[in-house]
Amino acid sequence: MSTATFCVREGMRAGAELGFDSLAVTLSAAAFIGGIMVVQAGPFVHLLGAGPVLGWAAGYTVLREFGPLLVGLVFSGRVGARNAAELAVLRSSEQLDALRAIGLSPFWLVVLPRVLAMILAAACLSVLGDLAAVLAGSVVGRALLGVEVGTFIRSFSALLHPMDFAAGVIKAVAFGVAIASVSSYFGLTAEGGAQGVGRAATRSVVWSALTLLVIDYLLTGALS
Amino acid sequence: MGNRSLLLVAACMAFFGMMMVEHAHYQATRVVGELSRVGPMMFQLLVREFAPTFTALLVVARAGAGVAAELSAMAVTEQVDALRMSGVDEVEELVAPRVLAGVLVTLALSVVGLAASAGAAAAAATYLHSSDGAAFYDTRFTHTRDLLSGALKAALDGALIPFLSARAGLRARGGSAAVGGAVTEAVVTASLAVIAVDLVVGLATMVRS
Repeated sequence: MSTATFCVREGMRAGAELGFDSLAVTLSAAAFIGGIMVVQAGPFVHLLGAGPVLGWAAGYTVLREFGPLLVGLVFSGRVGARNAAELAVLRSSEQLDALRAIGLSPFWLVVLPRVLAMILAAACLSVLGDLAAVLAGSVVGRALLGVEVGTFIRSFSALLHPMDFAAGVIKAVAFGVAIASVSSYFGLTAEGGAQGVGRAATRSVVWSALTLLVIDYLLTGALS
Repeated sequence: MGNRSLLLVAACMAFFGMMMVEHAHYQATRVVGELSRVGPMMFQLLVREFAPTFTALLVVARAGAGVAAELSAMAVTEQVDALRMSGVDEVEELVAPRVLAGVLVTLALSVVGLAASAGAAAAAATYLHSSDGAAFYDTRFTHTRDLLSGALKAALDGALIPFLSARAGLRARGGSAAVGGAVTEAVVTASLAVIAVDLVVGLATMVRS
């Protein structure tokens, strides 16, 4: 089997394992976020009679900011930590050295497919998460604030710009790149046995969180 | 738990505050007109919503993952079994102190997170957008109810994070791969718990007209 075929196959395996398995946790987190945004917008809706623009307000914040950011943080915990731990196990059990010894590159066979799979998974999860958040937001808006689902969706589609959606996806892709690089780095540089694996996973989550917030700030300015 | 999370929380929340100002600036140029008018509302949202929840998510990343890694490494090397054999109750010995510490530390770190985000927001508004920065720590709209809502979220998160992380860690079986699995499980369940607490407490303390 050629290196390229293996690379593609490993990428698809990693994508299925890292991305698909995170679907449930991402969708539930996103649905909660949609609900929270409507709950927090509640006082302003009452104060200003802003029911007709609730869909826009919740949609704007979810699509542009809190959707990608919170999904990114969950992704770094679910996928990044796992990637770091798996690479750390490969390294501490000297399997990466074994690959190198028989003349194969661990980068092409192990790291690159995972990185690409994680970036793709982050983008897909953010789109699906957006959908779950908006649906949950419209349901909570109906239940708590009496804003009809039709009104919610109308203000959502009429006032939101495609750029609001695109900005969120761009952020999610950037977060995917960051989480993939950070977690691979800490996984590949892990030292020691069980404790080293734990340390790699923990460091990966911590540095991913910091990187995410810095990138988020920079992109918020650049994309507005 | 707290010491090691302090820098992370302060740095991340400062960027969070600056990011909020960027959004407010973008909205202000289109709708409200003047950036500083959003300030008091943003401070209220920080107190009741973002400071406790985002601080808690960072505590999950730092301390939750750390607790799970530590306890699962103990579990797979059979140190927990050794404790149990010598008659020590592992919940009492390993979990309870962490839960207590978690509540205190998360409350304290939320205050740090609030100060960092509001301070950074004020600085960003003043120096980047030449607006009135003091508006971003104006407590005009912040009432006792908001303070209680934020404190309740932080306290519940602080108890749940070590509890769920310790549970994930102690249940780890197998070799070093199980340590990675425990960290992942801890971060995922604790993050979801933090988001769920946010929604539930938010609903319970919602302003009704």
